[in-house]
Amino acid sequence: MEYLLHILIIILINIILTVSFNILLGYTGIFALCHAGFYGIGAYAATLLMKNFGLEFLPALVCAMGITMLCSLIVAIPGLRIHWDYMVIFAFSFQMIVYHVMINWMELTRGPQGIAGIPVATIFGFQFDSKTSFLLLCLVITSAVVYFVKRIESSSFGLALKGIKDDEMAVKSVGKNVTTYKIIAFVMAAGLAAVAGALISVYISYIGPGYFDLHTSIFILICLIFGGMGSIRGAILGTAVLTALPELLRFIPNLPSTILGGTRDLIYATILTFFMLYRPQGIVGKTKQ
Amino acid sequence: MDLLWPLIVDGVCTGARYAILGMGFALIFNTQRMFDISFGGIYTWCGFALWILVRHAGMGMTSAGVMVLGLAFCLSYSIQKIYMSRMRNRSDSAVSILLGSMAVLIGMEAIVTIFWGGEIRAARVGDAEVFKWGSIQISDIKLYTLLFALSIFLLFRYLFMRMPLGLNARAIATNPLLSKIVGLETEKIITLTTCFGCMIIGVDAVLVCADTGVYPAIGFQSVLIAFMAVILGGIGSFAGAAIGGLTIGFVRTVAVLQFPTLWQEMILFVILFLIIAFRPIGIFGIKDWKSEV
Repeated sequence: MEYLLHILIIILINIILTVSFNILLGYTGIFALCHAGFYGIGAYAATLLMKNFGLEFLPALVCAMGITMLCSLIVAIPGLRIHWDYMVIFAFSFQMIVYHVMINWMELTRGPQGIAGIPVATIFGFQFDSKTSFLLLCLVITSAVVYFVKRIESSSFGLALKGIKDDEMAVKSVGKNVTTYKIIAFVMAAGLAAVAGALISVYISYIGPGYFDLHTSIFILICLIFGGMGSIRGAILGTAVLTALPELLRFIPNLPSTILGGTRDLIYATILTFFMLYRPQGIVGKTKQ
Repeated sequence: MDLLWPLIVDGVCTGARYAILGMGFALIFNTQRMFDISFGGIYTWCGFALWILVRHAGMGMTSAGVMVLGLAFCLSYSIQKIYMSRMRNRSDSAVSILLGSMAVLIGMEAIVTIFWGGEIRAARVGDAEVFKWGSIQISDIKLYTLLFALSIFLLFRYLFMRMPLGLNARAIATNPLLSKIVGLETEKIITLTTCFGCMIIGVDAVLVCADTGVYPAIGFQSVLIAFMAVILGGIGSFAGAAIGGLTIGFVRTVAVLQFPTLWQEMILFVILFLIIAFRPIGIFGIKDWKSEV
């Protein structure tokens, strides 16, 4: 039962990541493989604020979001002005820079050892120390994030984003400032990724650079492609299936960790290979007319 | 000062390695104009193939190296024929091509991890032969790296690009649609050029496996370095990619004088980040090529 709750919590946290990444790739068409970087910045910011400054969970979460959004501007402002294929590598290099800072800045992040002993989430004095209560907290926060993204989708802002993906020139021609729209979408997605970061840090009470490397960014991407780009239902479904599926491998006895990791990657790669060729719109995505 | 000369020699050798990667990717990218990164998987497989041939099958380094280059060509041809060519037919979206080839790369690395684990595997048995000139020392593999980089550069820049295949590839790079209209078999030419690009990448895999060794994730690493070389040198320029690679390797090695070794890798990404932020067309880039939306 505990194990099931654990998987549910991880799925909920991953859903925040995929749904926020959907704003970038699904709606706006910005291909930025640095989402795990923002996830990590959020996690480290929240952790350091809680451990070193004794903040409670909610204020730490809000501050972590702010810090992550500021950091995302470093990528967004120069990156979104240039052509998209430079943006791909730009985001890529940002992801690597964040990862290397996490590994090498010993004084702040304690390097590869990571930070352990993160206090449990406390909101107005109530401690979310059991798995059930934390699941409820995750459920509330994830629902709020999904609702927020849903509202964006149907707003005029969301429509403008979708317009940018389909035909950037057309959106420009009706007088919209495309770059500003892109930057806002980017910063928003980064802020939401920070929420997931804060949640994961208080949940496992330990964070290390390994959680926030390029593989995590690719995992988020594969979840979104599997479910369907541009669809919230798809993002949720894709994340749930792809988070739970590799867990089945754990039931095979005596499986060495390299084979476990390799098989998981192979499953992801196979899914991505077939979906890109035969169903690029994902499971629930619509075919482009 | 004792450190300076050996460091410079080391920097040039590392630079030569990166230049080989850059030239391989430049050949692929300049023709396709798509981010086809499946060559990273081929890199890993080539490295491991050399290790298996030398350490397990007991072959000599030279014959194993030649076989591995053949393997690189065949592997690349199959991947292009079976998957990438279909992807290119189905979708003209560069993101799809990038994602599809990334899937191939992750899959190939995963297969290596499943069978041989994540450790570093080096093909060399025994110590390296070292040549000395005064205070400068250079190992045999590093010398070969320099020679290979130079010969690949001369061979491809001055011979391949003037042969029918190279000329056709250049035509496709300049105007894909017009090339099709005048009757060039674009798909075939793209496939063959990519195979040659992968062979160049294979040369680097062989050199690295013979020297320091390879591990499954090295494919992704090579993709990053190749990207950097091409972006720094400038998209569309073969010589630019070689010089870009050389610069990156040199800066990375010599940076040790100023920065702790831990930050070595990060310096690369900071350079890349700054180039794209301030001069996305690179040093020798073609100005009118999509530097703006």
